[in-house]
Amino acid sequence: MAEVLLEVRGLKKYFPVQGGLFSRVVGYVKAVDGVDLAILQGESFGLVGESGSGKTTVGKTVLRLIEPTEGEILFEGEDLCQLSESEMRGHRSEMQMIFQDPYSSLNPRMTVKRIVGEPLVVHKWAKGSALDAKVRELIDVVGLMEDHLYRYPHEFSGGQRQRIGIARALALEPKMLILDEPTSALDVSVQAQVLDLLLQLQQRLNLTYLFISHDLAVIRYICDRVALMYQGKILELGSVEDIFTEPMHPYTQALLSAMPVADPEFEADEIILEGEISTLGGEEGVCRFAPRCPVREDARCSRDEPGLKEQVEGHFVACHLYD
Amino acid sequence: MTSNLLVEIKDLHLNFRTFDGVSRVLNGVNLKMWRGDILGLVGETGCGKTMTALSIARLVPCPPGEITGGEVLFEGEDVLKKSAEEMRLLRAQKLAMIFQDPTTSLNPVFSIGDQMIDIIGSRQDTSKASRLSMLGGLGNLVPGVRVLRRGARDRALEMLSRVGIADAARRINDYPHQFSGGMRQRVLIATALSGTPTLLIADEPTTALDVSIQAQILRLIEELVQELDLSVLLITHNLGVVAKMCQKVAVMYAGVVVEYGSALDIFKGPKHPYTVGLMRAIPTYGTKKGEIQGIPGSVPNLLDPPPGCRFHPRCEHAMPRCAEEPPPPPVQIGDGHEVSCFLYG
Repeated sequence: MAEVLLEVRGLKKYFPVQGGLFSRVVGYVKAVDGVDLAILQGESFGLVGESGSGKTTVGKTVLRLIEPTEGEILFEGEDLCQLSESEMRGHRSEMQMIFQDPYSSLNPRMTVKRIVGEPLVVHKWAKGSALDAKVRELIDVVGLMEDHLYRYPHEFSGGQRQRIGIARALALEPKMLILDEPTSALDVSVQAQVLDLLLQLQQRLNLTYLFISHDLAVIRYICDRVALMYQGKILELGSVEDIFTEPMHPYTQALLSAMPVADPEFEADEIILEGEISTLGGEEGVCRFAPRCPVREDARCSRDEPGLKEQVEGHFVACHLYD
Repeated sequence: MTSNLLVEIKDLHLNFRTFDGVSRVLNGVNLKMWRGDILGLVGETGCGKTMTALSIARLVPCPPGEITGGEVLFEGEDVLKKSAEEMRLLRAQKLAMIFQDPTTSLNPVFSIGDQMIDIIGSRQDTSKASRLSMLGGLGNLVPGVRVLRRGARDRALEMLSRVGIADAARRINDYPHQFSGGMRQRVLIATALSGTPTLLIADEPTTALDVSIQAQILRLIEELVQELDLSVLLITHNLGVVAKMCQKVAVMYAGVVVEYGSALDIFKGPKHPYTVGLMRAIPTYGTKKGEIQGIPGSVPNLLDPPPGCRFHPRCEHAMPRCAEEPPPPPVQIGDGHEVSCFLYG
């Protein structure tokens, strides 16, 4: 059993909603509402959910790019929430983030050389010729060429820009990468190139991935374990094998059946969910999925909130069906 | 057979003038669409899918666009030769379009009811249409227009309930921001299909939506196609959606249709090296790590496209003639299966 690299306990993030004459706080959006996770050294952990489910907020709070409202984030056993801002900065070199949109996450006024070298300069890891050598090495690792170094982001295609983002994230030799929809903005032929690169890098550098995506096919392809989020809560968590072959939660079952498969002969027993996810977060003390659930039992589901329980080894489900 | 041919695009060339030079967006597009088909138009960003579809409705912005050659036949008539008024009526009565982003397709300052009434009114002849839209809500004060508006409103309500908007009579007075993404797309579908269209052009209709909402919208489109006897041109880059919805598929690359055939042919026996590469690039059920492969390189810059076949710099089967000769014409290699590649003659 590999060691736990990152553990998240009872993570909550409430965003205040302001309204009225004096911008008083009139309520909260519960983006993340009690998430527990443990990510093992060297694995790819997938976080799936529809828009508004809170998956990106989890990714950002783990790095404390957003301050959590409540909860503990243990990285190698140390609680990141207790650290001061400057102590946290030191720890950020161990966890780096790659963003969805390679068009807006690179500074258009910097050359590739400066973009990739910037973390090394900020953290005072290298300068002069050492910096130069390190940047060249990184560029090579992600499959870009040396003559790309002096170009600006607008001269690159989406796939190449994402490679620049990856090179920048790798500059500080992190143990873990948080990838927030890294391929959603890319075309399929380029998406495959980037996924391939990520798999190679993981093997070569022994990286741990927290892979956030709404694309179930991509998650299935790249991850070892996966958690499904809905309105700030995890509904199901388990190995990719278990989740994709024997989904237990009604939401997972519906989502998987609704995923279009690129095979015209494939006949899915589609479960079409009614309604839509509410982004305001769920009510207290009821199952958040109950309003859309095809198999809800009004008595139980709208009274009790099901907790995440282990049903089969390593396969956790939060649903009253399995009580 | 010809009467069943709904759309035929022959050797269409479209250029865009930009500050950096002339961008050759469409470079000899050939496409046939039969009545009753759901045709999937697949390709990567910038390959000309949307421009091909817009050219059927002659909605390509000209200038900067310029159609330099070819024909676009809709029900046997060349839309490029029609007058503006004939085109308006064709769009109003025969064509329906829905777009990717339901947020930007609706005007935020008018209620959806007002917008739908305008559009439904404009499907009629010019004089009535202009009276309806010029006056807007004030039209209710003019008796003749009020009758027209009431008729259009009834039609709008009928369509809204048909596309699954609960409590349509109340929601018709709501503004776009009061609807969620999926609901907005339903409103657009209702508006688009409020005439008596024969062709629905759906440009990435579910790309901005979540999987569970996408499933709802696709199901709705399927039902409406059956009910209204529509033909659909479905533009998407999501091969899963194509496999699910379409009988026929056309694959585009850099302004050319490189392969055309039944969905089964394209997915099970792709012939063009680009199509083969696309199929290899998507993870599906049971794909193991390291099994998918990207296509090396990236889409060419259309300001300066490669000579010959535009795919040859990325093609693993490229031969010397691919770079020298003009792009290959489509070759029939099976029943209704056409490929534009020198590998096949």
